[in-house]
Amino acid sequence: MIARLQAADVDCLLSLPMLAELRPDEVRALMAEAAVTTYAEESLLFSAGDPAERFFAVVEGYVRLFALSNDGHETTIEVIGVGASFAEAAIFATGRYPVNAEVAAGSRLVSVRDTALMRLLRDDPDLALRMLGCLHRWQIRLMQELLQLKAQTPGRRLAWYLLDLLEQTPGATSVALPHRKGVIAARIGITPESLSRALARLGRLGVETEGNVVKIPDPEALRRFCAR
Amino acid sequence: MALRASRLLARLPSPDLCRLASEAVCVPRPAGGILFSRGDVADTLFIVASGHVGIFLGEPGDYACLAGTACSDDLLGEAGVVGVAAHPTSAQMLAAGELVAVPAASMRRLMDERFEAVLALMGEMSLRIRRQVREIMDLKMKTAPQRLAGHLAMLTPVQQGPAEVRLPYEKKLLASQLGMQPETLSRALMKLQGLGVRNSNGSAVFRLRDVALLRQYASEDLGGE
Repeated sequence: MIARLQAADVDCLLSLPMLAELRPDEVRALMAEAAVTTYAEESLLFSAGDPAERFFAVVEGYVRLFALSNDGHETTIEVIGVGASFAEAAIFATGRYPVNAEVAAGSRLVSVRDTALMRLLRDDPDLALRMLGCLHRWQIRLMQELLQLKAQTPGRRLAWYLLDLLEQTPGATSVALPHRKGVIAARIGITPESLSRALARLGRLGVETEGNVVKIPDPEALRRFCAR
Repeated sequence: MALRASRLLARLPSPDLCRLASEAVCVPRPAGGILFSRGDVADTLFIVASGHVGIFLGEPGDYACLAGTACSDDLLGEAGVVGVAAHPTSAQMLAAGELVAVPAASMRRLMDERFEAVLALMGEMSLRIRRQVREIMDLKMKTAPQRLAGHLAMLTPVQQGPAEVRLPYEKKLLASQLGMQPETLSRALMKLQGLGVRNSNGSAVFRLRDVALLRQYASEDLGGE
């Protein structure tokens, strides 16, 4: 279903790292060319090799980018959540989508035609330069995020992992661990012993383990711990 | 390297490239050589022709700040072309190589004259952003052995069957490159022996029995066990 832009859609575009330094009138010009679509059912948004005609931002729900091998095996490459954009690289670099994209049921996406974006950039060299500046700052921010993630203590890595699981179900206060503890330890890059210690240490934030279920009565406390 | 062979400039018209080539210089650099340090005036755009460059969000050589690497065709020092006066990062050769040094002013003039040059730079920068986003996702979602398997498979052009991979940098950098504790790396390597990965202690050479198998293992959604 295609609809007109609402306030949430506009906010979503305004907060994209790529558009962070555009003036309000420039963002309005881009919005005039934007479409918003709500997907009632899970659907294929584009296939690898299709001409890249739009870039997208997720307002609600999520989009899964995946590759397909010759024998039909699917590999998830990236999951794009609320407030993030994708396919801008396809528009600028190759002109074709390099992967497949599947949009989850109930998702809402804003998209902008490549031609609209190109016209805006071509007509205003200063705008193009500011957008390059946005991309540059975005790169630096991602480097900071990567370093923070690499420097995490075992306790924080575990807390991130638990929150990722928890947030798959809105309002949940417990998660069932999907793997054995040895596998989870390897997944977050810590030793099995430090996983046990980390779980015990999260006890003071109310986290309790019973078998393969982890109770998290106060997710906010865990979020604060991660943000520290 | 001919400028035309670079991904950034491949699609630009010949006269533009000839002029840019006359203003650019090819610089060989040994392992450990510093291209620029954080805070230096950003007046040169580097295109990597060969070798492996570490990007540090801090002082060069401070491996706690190693925030990315660049190899063939990647750009370094974009700050100078996007209007940022000083480099926010440092760049140091992890392995010897060659770079094309393009004066930032020359690139800016080309961008003023040719919209295609602006687009090409946007393409390169957004491709790197995609790579960074995926690296962060892998760090959150993949197991240590999966990340090691993916990294080794990425270092060879071989798509399937056996391959010999030589790390383009010292082996002791591998753990910090992958964001693992050294013990975690040892355990990951032990696990990959079961998938036909052979490496003798301290050697920077890895023998892989089947690259396709490693790629598949690295991309499995589940924990790999």
